[in-house]
Amino acid sequence: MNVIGLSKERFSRRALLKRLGVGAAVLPLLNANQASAAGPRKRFMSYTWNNGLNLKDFHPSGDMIEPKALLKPFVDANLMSKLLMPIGLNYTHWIDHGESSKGHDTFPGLLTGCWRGTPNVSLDYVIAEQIAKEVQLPRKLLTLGVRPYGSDPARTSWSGPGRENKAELDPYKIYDELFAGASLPPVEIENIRARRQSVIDFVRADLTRFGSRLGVDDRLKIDAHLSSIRELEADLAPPSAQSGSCQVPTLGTKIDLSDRATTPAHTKMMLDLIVMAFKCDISRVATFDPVDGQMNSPVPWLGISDLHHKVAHAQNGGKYAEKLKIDGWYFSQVAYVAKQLDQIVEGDKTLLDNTVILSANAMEDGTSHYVGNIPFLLLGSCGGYFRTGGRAVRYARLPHNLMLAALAQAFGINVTSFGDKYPGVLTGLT
Amino acid sequence: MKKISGTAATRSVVGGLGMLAGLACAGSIDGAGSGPGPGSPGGDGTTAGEPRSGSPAAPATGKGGASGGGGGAALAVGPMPPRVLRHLTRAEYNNSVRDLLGVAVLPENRNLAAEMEIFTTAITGFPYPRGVDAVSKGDYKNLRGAAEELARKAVANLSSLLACDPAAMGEPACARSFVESFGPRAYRRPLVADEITALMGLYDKGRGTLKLGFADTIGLLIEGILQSANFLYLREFGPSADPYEVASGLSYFLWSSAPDAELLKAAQTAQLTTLAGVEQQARRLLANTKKANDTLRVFSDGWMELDRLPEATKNAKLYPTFSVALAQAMANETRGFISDVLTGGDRTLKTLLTSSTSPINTGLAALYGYPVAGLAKDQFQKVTLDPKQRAGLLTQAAFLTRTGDPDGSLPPRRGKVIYENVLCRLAPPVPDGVPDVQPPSPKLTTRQRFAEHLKAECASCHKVFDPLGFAFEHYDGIGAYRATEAGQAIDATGTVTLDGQEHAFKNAVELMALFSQSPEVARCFATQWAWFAMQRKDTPADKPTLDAVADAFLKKGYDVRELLVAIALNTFPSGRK
Repeated sequence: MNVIGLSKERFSRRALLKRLGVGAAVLPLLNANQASAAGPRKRFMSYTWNNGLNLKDFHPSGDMIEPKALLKPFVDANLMSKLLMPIGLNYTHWIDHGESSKGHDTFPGLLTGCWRGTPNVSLDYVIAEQIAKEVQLPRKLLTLGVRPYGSDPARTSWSGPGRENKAELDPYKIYDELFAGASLPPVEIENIRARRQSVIDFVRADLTRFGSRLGVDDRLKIDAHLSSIRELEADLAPPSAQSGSCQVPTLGTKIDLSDRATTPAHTKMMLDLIVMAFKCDISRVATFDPVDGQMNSPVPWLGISDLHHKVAHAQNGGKYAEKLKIDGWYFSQVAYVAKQLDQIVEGDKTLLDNTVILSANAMEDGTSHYVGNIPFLLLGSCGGYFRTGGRAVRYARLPHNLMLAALAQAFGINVTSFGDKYPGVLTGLT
Repeated sequence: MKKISGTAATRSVVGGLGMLAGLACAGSIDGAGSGPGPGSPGGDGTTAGEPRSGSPAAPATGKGGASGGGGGAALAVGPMPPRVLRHLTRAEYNNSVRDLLGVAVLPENRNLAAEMEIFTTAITGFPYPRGVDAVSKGDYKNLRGAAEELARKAVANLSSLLACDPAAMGEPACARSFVESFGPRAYRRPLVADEITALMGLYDKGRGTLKLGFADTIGLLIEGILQSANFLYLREFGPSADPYEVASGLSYFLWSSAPDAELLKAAQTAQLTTLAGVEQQARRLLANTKKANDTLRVFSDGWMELDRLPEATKNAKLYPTFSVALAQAMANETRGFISDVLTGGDRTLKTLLTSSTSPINTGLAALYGYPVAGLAKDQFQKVTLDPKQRAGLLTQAAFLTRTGDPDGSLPPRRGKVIYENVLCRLAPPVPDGVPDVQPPSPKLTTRQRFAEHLKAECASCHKVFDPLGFAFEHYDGIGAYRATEAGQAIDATGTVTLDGQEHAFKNAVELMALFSQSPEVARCFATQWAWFAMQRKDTPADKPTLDAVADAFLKKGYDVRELLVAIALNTFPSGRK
């Protein structure tokens, strides 16, 4: 059962307005069920975590994915035929920088194809921008997480050099932004929008005046602030094409997000929000990074008191079962979101079929932290673009940049390279 | 992970998708100017393992110069290193809106900005530089949400915000009066004509196009002001060293909040252009212990990582009494201890490092083996713990729990934190391929298990900080005292080199006695506070400043109030030539 269930229940206007008052971007109309003339409505999602996997419980020996221990959730969800596993890709930037065992530092490169010192636009951002050229959605890109774990969160999502797309962590806030507006009369939505627009106009003029008095370096900071406002302003505007409607989901019993024991419920809410956002066409791109790029994520709900990193280092020294349990849990969440998407019918396909989910890890395995054979997994065929079928495709130590380029091409983006230094597009996936 | 430098971080965003065929990376962004991130201390070029500037190995050169005001603190000479534009930190934002809008607006415990990632503090040591990240879209949305909520609550009690009656004075005139009184408090300086015009333009829009009521329009103005760059950013010490910038600098350093009316008045009357004036105001701010405590709390939380303590994970089988509530009590004990010593006690570093008297509750009493009987439940009460077991804040549960492991004491981490945060020495980077420590064995003590570290490639780092950690082997993973482990007596002995001399110690209590008399430790403490005041780590150009500050601290008997005054005199422009 979803934490967020579908319901036609209408909220009291008062309650909705109250919620909308708190930082809510307004969603005037939902354009679900909107027929698309241009082929399948493709979605992209990434799911990333850290500390590597036990590859022997993941990679098959032949050309077909096998029901290894870590893939059990996909067997249980009957999703094995919708998987595609590229084997033999690595984070070449790190190897070439002499950092082949610096697996913790790869997060800025996972989706950018850049070394950690020079991250630029990430795949999710690029896909979101491409889709935005075709259709104006309430949210171009959802970057979601569960909680910040450390001092130096490493993001997967980047909208440019130095511009991290920080993950949103509060499902209640996101819910309000995405769904609460749906039940409001258009005139009230317009009032909120107009009020915010007035404040934004003031703030923008104020920032511009402020920036003009600064030196070059400081002004760049203000320019970034102004860009952020511009991006938010675009989200405020109503979708260009409005038709159809979407059932408004309801949130379940409120949980205490600060309690680590609620992480499973929290994670589920975030994944349900992604499913609803995809279903209702509020967004077509979602980045989910439950660990905020951190290695030291605690996992107390699995009955494990050590932090994930410590377990990972000891995966061959007495902590094998615990490591398997942790990664199995993450994969069970990937399988959960995939299953939810697979249960939503879109024409002669399912939503999962129109999606490609990239499941990625920061490193190969937890003992060595080596970045040589990254356990990637693709789910969903992206509208028939990828030839899934439970295939494992082997490569001879290729940069993962090539896979990013192939994923970009799946969304009609005409690239021949992704990131820098390692041009090319991965073949064998389509 | 290395953060991109402030400058590079804000380079223009890559343009439209037209250039996608060459989706490249950001080019070579060097780390210069990025400041050392948490976990990667240094950045000033000092060789790993060697003392920082300010230690006896690098004798002070910049003392002397202009004589101070009444305090006579030594002053550095030479140009002030420039400060960069930064935004308010989380605590500063919270305190500022509290002081600006009145405590009644937000419940005491509501930490609105805690929800804002832009204000998030770091996990390891001092998160410097702070406040220099660019405001992202998500940050901006959070700032907007906070401004909307605060404005709505503030106008619910409109009369407390307005000095005029809109019915009697006329609404536009009353609104202008609000702008002219509230604006300078929020922007921390008088408004220029353009700014008043812009705010009145927003007022007109609210009453006109948006058809809002008068009170709601005042709320609209507050929303705008709280999102204004003039409120959110601190432009400390531009080329002209505006006295209002000095006022903000002083007040965010000593109060972690906006200047009060008297401080703004001192800026207006040019008092802050003289050293004596700065010193007088610094001492006045420090005398307000309630507000000075806001800064002590931010410092303590950063230095001892107290705000992250409730996130500690401990093995419930080994530590069944450990809970989030106990972790919070530990943090509160250390906060209360630091506040007691620095505002109510003798204010010395020596007492911070050696006192056995601290405020505890029943949960902590049980942990410390102190008789619970006399204590009121859930109240903190100042008691004196066994001085053979506890000496100062590094032997309190907060530090020991934060630096302990889920399963035990973890000497290397304790040693490393002390090495970096108490001695200001640079730890070498962690090499690849760290072997696993042997799992807990009923037959081995923690110290015996970590002996592995002193072999082979690990030794380069661990011979440096493990011995400091072993000094704390009498304290388990949550800071409880133990005389034995695995049936063997605890070995907490070791040696430490301070001020160029080797000293032997039997345990942490003896180590603390050594620390408390060490000029090197005092200089490091002074450096930590200077970083806090500057909101960044030092560069070579700061050496005269650090030396002058540390000299003053030593000369004044390690009195922390005098240290803060010296920092105010040395890191703010007035008087520096």
